[in-house]
Amino acid sequence: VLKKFTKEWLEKQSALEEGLEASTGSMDLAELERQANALEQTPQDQQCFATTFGTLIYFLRHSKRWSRSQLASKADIDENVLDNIENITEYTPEPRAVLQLAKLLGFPSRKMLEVAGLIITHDVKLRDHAVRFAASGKDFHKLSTGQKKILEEFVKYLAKKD
Amino acid sequence: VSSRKKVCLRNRQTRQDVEADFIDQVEQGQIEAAMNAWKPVTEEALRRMAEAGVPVEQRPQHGHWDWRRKHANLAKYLRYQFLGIECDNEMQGLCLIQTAGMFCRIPSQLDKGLVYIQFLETAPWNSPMIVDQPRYALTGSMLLAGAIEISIDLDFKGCIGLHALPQAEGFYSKAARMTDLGIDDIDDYHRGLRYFEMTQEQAINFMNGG
Repeated sequence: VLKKFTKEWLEKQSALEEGLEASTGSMDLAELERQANALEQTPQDQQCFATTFGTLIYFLRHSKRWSRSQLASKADIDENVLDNIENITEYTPEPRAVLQLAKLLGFPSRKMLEVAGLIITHDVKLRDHAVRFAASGKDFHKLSTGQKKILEEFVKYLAKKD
Repeated sequence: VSSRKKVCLRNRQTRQDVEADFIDQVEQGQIEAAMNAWKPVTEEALRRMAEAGVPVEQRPQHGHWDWRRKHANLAKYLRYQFLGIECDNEMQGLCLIQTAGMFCRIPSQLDKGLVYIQFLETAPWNSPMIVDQPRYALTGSMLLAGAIEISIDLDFKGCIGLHALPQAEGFYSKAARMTDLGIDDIDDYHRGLRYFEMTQEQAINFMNGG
């Protein structure tokens, strides 16, 4: 419900507004449409995110030196589900598994659901990180310094609280 | 799904508060009706100004806007939302907000999400650029309040941002009490316009009259 403003607020605000023009805006309509189109999520994007999520979990598990069964146990999810997340690119995880992993790994739930492709993201930076991350390969032991940096930046961005 | 919430505007002549509706998803038919009512008033005012030799920079910079096209082209995108204030069965103001993909610039909230106001326009009879005696006050403020509440709902903590046309800078610095970050030299599409942003604290102050 839009806040109910007091009589004093209405009085003060209408006095402040007096003689001032509020109308504003300038972006070209075609440009607004172009930007919106560029950022709408396509099925290819969703696939990219699904792949990214599995790779990310794989990377984080290795960085913590946890076995698959250890991570599954800590997150309270089925080990087969974790196996599917890490290895099957077409696999769409259940929200509960994603939320359990987010909680365990300390990431905001919404961002993890976006990375898992379960909700559409409008976060341009998250998309950029995910695309760069997806392109950087899976076996992080063999990654170059530049590729490791991409992973670290992605994890850092994910860990940032909204 | 569109919903309505009761708000107040103030009649500038009688100084009485009048009940109005805040609409959070304006539909195409409502935009059509608004344009049919607004256009003749705006066009007549622009014609009189041209005849009187009013310099171009003193004429309303928003006089040519067509909300029908804006709505027809952008309403299908989730990121855009058309807000409106209706009173006396007429649209008193319209606002197009962007709810995704825009980020704060003030250092204390850098890169956090915000609600960005792409366009805001009051009905011509409420505009001091167009009529000598505007009919209703608070249309702009109520649209801003609506944008702030949507920002809170989206976990953006009330943060909003916009680029102001030169004629509207006073409104956003004095009436909205937003932070003026100066002329934008970053964004190619708003180069030369001043960028204003409202912090969480300013949003609370605005809503509470502080």
